[in-house]
Amino acid sequence: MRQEFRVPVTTAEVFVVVRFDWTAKGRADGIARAVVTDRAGRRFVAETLGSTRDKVACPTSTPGVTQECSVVVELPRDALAGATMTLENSMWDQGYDDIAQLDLGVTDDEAEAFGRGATASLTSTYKGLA
Amino acid sequence: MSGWLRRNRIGLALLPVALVAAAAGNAQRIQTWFWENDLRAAQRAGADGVVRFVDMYDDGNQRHPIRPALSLDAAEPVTAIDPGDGEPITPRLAAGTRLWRVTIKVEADPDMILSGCQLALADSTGTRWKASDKAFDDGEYSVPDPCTPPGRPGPSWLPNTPGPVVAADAVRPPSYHVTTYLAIPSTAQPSEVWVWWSEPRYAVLPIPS
Repeated sequence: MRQEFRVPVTTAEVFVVVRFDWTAKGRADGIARAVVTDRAGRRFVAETLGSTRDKVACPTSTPGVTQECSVVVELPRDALAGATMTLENSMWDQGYDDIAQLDLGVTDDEAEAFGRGATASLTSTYKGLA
Repeated sequence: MSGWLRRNRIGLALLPVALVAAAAGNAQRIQTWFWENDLRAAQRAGADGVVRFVDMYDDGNQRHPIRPALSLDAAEPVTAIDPGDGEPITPRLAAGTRLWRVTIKVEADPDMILSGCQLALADSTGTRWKASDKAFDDGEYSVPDPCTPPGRPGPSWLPNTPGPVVAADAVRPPSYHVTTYLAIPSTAQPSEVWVWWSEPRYAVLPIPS
């Protein structure tokens, strides 16, 4: 199963693209939702469904087989420094499973130049099938 | 007996009844959110290796029985897909996987609706790999439905139609063999094939060791 989004979009602020490997355990599962929280507590949500410019590409994958996934979240530039992200299995209920939390790692000094002029694609497929 | 116990003796006597009634009043949530939300009711083979599967499709509008006899012909690692009408296809596999071929025998009334089943390999820990979570790239070839013969799925029942219909060239034979391919981790040791139409009921077909 391969997901690829071919409609190019640009922003006056910044798209944060996070690429990660995902391996389900026990039964098929995927990442369906990502939430960026900035220092001020603002939350920016990307999901597998919907018509927004924010998107999660990490379809349900079979257990033990690694999928290369990506997430894109459009942020105002002043949200970058110190922001964190969660990766979640369900769009509706976060009570069923573990949630991955990560620091985006953007410092105050880096925020102004972060991502300027860069272009990234949003894809997902099993490792080895790209 | 103290005064408090005596005054409240009727309420205390009824308290267990109220607790049971409250729990029973919410029991449909166990049915909906737990029992019907996973594969929980295994149906196993008799001494002849055949699972006489019993289920019922019921979405509130349509209701029809699903009662095929299922048995396993073979489940084994292979290196290529046999499309049946051409050269073998060597698929690109996801990293760290190998290809498995599963062939089952199905016997069922040709008038029975059997499309839409799921098939999985499962190991002794309960880890399951579904055929629909396809971890290989076979180009133009598309692995068919795991429970109906290619091109001859038998009847289907579309929404807002009075009953099942079957095209003349799609009539299913009463007995047939159907083959499915899966890519699962190379280290996996599946011990059973599971087949199901809707949770929680599923057929268990042991893989001979």
